[in-house]
Amino acid sequence: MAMGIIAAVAKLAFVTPRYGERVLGGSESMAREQARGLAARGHQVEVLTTTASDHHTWANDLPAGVEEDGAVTVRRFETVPRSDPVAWAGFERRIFAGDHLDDAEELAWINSRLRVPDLYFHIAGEGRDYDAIIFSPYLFWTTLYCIGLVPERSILIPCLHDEPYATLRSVSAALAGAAEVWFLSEPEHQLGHRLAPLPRHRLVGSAVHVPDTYDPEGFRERHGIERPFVLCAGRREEGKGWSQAVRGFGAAIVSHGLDLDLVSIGVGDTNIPPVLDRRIIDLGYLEDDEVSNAFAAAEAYLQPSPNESFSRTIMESWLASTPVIANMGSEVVAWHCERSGGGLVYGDEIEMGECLRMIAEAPKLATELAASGREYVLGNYTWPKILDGVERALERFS
Amino acid sequence: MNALVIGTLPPPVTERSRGLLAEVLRLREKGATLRVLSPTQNSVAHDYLELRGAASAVEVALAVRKADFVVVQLEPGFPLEENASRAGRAFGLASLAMALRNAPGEVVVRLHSLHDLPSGAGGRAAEALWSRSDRIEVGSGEVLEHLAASLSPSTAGKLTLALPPVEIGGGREARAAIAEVGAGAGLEAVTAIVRARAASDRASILADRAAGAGQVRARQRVFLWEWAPHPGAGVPAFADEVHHERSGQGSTLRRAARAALLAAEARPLTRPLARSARTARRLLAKI
Repeated sequence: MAMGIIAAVAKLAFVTPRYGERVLGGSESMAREQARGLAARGHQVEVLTTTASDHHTWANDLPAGVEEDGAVTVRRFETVPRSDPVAWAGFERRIFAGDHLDDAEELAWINSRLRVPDLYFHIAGEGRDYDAIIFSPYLFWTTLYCIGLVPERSILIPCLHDEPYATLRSVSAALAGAAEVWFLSEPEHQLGHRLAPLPRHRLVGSAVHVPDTYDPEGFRERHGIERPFVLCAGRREEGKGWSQAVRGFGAAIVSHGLDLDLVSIGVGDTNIPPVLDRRIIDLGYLEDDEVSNAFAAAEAYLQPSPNESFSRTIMESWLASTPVIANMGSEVVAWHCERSGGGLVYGDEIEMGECLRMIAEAPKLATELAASGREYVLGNYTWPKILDGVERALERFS
Repeated sequence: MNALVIGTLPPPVTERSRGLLAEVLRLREKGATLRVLSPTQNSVAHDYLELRGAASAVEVALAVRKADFVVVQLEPGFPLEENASRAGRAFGLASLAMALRNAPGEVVVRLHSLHDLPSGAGGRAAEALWSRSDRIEVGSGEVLEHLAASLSPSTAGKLTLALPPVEIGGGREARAAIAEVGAGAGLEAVTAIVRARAASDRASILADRAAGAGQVRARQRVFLWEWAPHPGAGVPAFADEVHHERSGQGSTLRRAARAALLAAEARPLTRPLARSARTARRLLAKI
């Protein structure tokens, strides 16, 4: 067991709406890595989560009760999936249209997506048995309803994005009401200040595992990939910029005769237009090791998401010595690219095409970008460094 | 044991809702499988009553059938409309008493405060409700004394004092911290207390308004929150995701009905109609 930097053992709970090895999502992965890392340092760590793994349906597809994930105890509570999708979708549209929801409507929107009453009862009854309860991310019933139960022990890792949801009053109340707020990047921290009068807060960051080896050739062989490609990883959703990536890639092929394919890994429907189905390869969900190999095999990693609070995937890409092309709509990703000198950012689909062209035509530049990025990750975002900071932050709670 | 709790838990965070939460936690500790049915939309619950006033007894009658243990809290709006007439009061209480006859197991009726039962605890309809209960839990010694004096001796024998309400928020810690603040207190400590108290105030204002605003149609301005900035740029076209999520689910007719409801929901004029249709659908699904 690795030793932590503080002597006292803390009893901690992570509250997250989904948890598990196959659950895809930045905040979910971060919570799992942090929980497992702290447990490995000798702390008593529990995860309080739901029996759902699909964040669209919130169906109870995992068994309720207690299970172990290494040294972490996982308590799963059943969700009540939304009973009135029409009302929910109506609120959702109004939020995105910038319409003001009154307080009852705001609460109805949160409560009609999913609710987990038994999780609430667990925290209400046993919340004070934990030294600290770490809630993440900000936008779910599990955080917005439960964080006020034991606020003096509540830490919020909001994983904020600059999006309409973030300006809801209940989000501001959650940010202001926690004992501490932990941010993953400086732009997210600045956004936090614009949204709420923050309590004690700090920049904790997040991290990625450093693989021992990569197998890019094996990856190509296993998946029958012969041509050079750019990689796109994560959830294939509108909010994650997937459609823009497809459009931009298609335009780049037409405009510049780009000699690159696009390989996509992750979950969700790809909806690839027939005209591009030979140039976009969907590999679906891959295990962690194979994801690392995919990053190493790619010419570049394309991060089209405007909604990132940390972006683990760009870190994984840089670690694999692969340069990044990213949407500057995400302040956080643009900030990482600027600080590291490891990535090119684009403002629209035309610029995206030019970035892809640059990578294809200037291999030396690509190598230099990748080297800077790798140095940046190793210097700032490895788990031992981040967990040291987390433990120091937890000292006042234990 | 299958336990059914009918009443409002937080939010709103009130002494009554915290008291019922204490009862829920007690049942949970005893290992009961819990189901909470709330008359207040968006309070913590597994399910909500769709009908209001005396009509809600129909839903109660359906819900209690499979419960080994039932806790029913009398509160403003349930089972009586807040402006119920004398006849309405009698009808509401009698309907609830009749609904509870369907319960195969023990029934506990909770009355946190005398104000929660308009026109007092007496009368034939109320007596029917008390006689159906195995225990009557009240929120304070004062209520207990009052009821003991006004109810028949056999009913008064069922009276017990409820558990103290659950402490929610930072109240306990904040009180302890304030007690320790002396003349030499650091600015950081004082600021931390001020922030914690403000956060608690803010959360309860929000929750109370939200829960209380259920019947209020007019849009409310909450001045405390005026500093919240307007959403920034970069709005993704979320409608596509909703569409994507729904695509392929249900028959063409169901999808068309959903689309029509969504369109009706988007327009203020047709919104009440859409909401009534949804309520009817949920109610039918329950039955």
